Amino acid sequence: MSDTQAEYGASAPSPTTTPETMAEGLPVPEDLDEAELAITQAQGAEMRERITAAAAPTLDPPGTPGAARAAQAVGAFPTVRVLSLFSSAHAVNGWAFLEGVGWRRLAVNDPSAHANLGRLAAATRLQGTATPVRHEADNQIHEIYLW
Amino acid sequence: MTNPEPLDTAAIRAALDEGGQPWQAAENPMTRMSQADRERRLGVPLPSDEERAEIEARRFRASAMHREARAGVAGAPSSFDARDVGGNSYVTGIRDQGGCGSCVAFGSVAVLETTGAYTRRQPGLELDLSEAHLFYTHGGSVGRNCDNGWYPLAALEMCRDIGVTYEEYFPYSAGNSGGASLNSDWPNRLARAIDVVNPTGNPVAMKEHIAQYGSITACFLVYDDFFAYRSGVYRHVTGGLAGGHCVALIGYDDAQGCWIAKNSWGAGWGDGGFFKIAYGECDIEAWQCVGVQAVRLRAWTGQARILGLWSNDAPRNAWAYLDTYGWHRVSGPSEQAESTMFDQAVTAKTAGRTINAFCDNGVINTLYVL
Repeated sequence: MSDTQAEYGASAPSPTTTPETMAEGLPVPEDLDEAELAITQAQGAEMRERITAAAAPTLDPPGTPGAARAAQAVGAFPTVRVLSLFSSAHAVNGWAFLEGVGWRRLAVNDPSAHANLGRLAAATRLQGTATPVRHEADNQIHEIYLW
Repeated sequence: MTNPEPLDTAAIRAALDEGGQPWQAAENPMTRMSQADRERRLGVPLPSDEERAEIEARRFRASAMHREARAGVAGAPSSFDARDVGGNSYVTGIRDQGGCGSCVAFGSVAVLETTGAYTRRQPGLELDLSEAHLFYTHGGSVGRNCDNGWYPLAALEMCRDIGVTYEEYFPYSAGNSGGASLNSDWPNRLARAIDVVNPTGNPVAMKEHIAQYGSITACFLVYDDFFAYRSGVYRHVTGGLAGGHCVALIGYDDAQGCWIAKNSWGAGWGDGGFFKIAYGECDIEAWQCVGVQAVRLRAWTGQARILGLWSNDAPRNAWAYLDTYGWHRVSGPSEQAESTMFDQAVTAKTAGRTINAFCDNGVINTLYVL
């Protein structure tokens, strides 16, 4: 489990339970000492590297020249509808109910990724159509296409 | 020696009959011109004696490679035609260079247009880039003009180093007789070649390049009978040497032993503007064959539809698939900027609204929802 998952993972409520009272107030910002600053800068460099190396989509929309190739690979991406959404006043705590699967949490490893997946899950719910969604054994959604 | 009379196609047909009709000849706009006007369209300077010896050596090696390829050594598929890849064509329309030795610009731009579409798998891209910008501006800066021609390696290197704008920013006319000038906004409507490669003399590498990237330029010697080409696989049968020419190879066929080429003499010449030429014929593989591995585009899309959106668990990694343009990453200087653009892209997609996006090398960095 990553640091981010440890930070955000356990305490936030899931949509199968009634949301509890809101979490404690935000922590008070503190100045970083030199060691902490070095760690933060190293994480920044790592983050830049991760952004640069981020994967690109491998499927193409239906009706486009690459769609046939995409269809061959679609077995790796269950095509499902999003039937419901859930979020609470906690960090990275957006969830989507996948038809035939159940509640799955949007990936928690990064806030920007969580937000992007949340946008796509919401748009998918709005459209009401089935779309390729990759969810893993960690019960998280790691990838969403919206056609 | 120039001949002011139109080409004698009957004599060429007779020679072809004697030779078992290896290809078909017909009158066309080129045969009806004077010899001087025909030769004016041949814009690759003939090689010096020293260069000719090098070409000869490459031709010899290329011939050996063809023999090995027939023995099953080649890695490329046995045929390819960028006009029909799974039912899609990645070749733009036939152009007409007119009375100017600008064939190198046309062959080079044809390569950019095909490679740009094929590497994106976007047959509808229909790039139309400015031969005038490449020839009159870039070529002109190094002393090239309608009379002395150019070479594709130098031309494509300038496409890589500077880039070439779109046709409407500098429309082509022969000798720029139309008086067009370069739009000052050209740096914001620009195609740039990435990774210029030169597999001259290696037909196996040429095929692999065409199959992977869609197209490659080629220079060859033109003899008089070529002007009368109508269909079939061209081999020199009769007539004297007229000059050097540059075209884009957009396919090949091992069964017929030929390259498939896009010419720039209008759709009224040849097989709708295209022709087939036998492997090794007229030094087509040995003189100068140059390709590019990608084409970077920097331009507004104009009205475009979003056909798909995607994101995964990687930080700041949101993408939009634009109709005829393909996947583009939504990227900005900050997470907030990207979020705003991606929000708007999602809105456009779900509401069925078109967008106008400024794309630079596969990245959307400015967005209107229309």
